[in-house]
Amino acid sequence: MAVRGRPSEPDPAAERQLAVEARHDPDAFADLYRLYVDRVFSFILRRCGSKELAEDLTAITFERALVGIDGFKWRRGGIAPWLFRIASNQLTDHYRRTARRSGDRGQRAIDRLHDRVAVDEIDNLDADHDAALVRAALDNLNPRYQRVLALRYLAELDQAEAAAAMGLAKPAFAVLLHRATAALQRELETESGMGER
Amino acid sequence: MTGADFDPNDPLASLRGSTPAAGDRFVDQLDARLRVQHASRRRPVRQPLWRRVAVLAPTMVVLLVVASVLVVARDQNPSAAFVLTNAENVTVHFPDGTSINDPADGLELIEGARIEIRDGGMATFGDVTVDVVAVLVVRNGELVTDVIPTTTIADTSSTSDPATDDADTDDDPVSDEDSDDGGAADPEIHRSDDPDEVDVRPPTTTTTVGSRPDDEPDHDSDPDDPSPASPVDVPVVEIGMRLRSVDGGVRINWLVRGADDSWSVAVVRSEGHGSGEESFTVSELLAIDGVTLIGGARQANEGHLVDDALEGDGLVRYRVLVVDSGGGIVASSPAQSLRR
Repeated sequence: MAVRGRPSEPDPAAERQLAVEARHDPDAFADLYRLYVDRVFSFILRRCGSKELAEDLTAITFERALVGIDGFKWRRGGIAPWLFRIASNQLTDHYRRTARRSGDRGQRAIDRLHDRVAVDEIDNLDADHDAALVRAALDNLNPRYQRVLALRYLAELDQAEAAAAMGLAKPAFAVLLHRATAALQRELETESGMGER
Repeated sequence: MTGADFDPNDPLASLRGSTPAAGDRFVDQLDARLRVQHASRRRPVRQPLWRRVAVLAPTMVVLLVVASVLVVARDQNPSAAFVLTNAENVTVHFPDGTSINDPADGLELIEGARIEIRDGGMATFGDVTVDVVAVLVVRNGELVTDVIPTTTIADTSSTSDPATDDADTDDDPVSDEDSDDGGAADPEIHRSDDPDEVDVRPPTTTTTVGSRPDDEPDHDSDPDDPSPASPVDVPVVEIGMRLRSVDGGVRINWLVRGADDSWSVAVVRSEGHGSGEESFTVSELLAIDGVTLIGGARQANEGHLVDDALEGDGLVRYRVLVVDSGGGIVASSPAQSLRR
């Protein structure tokens, strides 16, 4: 059984071989899974703030990866951009579903902020007021901005990996990231302004 | 967290705090579940060759017939429609004058249809996804956009540019040159007899950004996103710029087309070696030695300003930038130079 966690020195050749074998070998897929499960879980948890939800979405991510592993073709950056793209899609889908349920995304974010105490009691994850503010502001951005910021700063992918995960060229990714950052700053200023009133 | 605390280089640092790892129990349970799912995946049973041929033969015949019909139909109708999906922040204008905002998936784009993708928008045409601000047109059976990629460096002290020598030299393109109303005439291709005036308008060219979906190469499969984005890095905003030596400075006229109302124009002057061509934001650009913000206008449209803060001598370059509300450089004109 493979060691869990981020590979200290990623070996693209070994990972590529593992991806090929994972199509027909459950052990190989399990090795891939254990290499990435913590990173994917952390990424999702940082984004959503709920351990239960993070576990659900992590499970769905790897189930989707299993379904898609036959069609996976090796690209620069390896498995990580592909896997985080799936995870990011699950997050986007989740937020779209909840937004549809609650009607208004902005209102939902504000509600979440105000209900933070209740969330804290359940998870004890949003103890940090800044984190709650930032998460609420992030929720208010359009999904593409959310994705680009999350992949770069929460999944901690480098620019090339995050660009690959978004399906963008690096310059286009950089522009999108810049716009998303600026939008987040504006949103935070709005949020903090509302909090002070 | 306030705007003042915001770190643009790591804006989500507060969310990364002390994130707990996935619990061992959860990891083991999911591992076991995935192994079961892996084992229960349907595997194609390899049939003998004769049996596969026998099974596939009727299907192949049907497919061949269908393919033949499609080829014939396409030859007879070379401008068959593109199909638009995933439209967000998109308006489609048809030749008959009708327009549709954010059309539903499956809209057919006939010849002459104009697709306007606004800031933050995207649209997918078959296997091609365009997620930059763009205006695309279905022209001669291809999806194209009008861009102005030509770069022309003009120097009043240098020899004239053959590309512009043939252009009209009769009328002054800035008919209201002496007025202060800020009017800037459409900077068409022009070289004035006035040796102090440089006027460059690169020709509009057409770049293909997409072809018929059935001509596209296969993409890698992705269980989540069967149509991976294919970024199109083409300028989509037209910028015309003209420099003119005036008393004590340089007058810069600009004309911008295709810009969003919320965008603005900035004019920068570069001296020395730093051109800042690779900069994505105004702040990055201004961090380069020798690059100075001359001024601009709140709305990207047309206007002029005079740079009267020139000192020393040598070559000085100007660029007109179209900037979004976050300070990102959406488009940049080619640099034009003047010798002081």
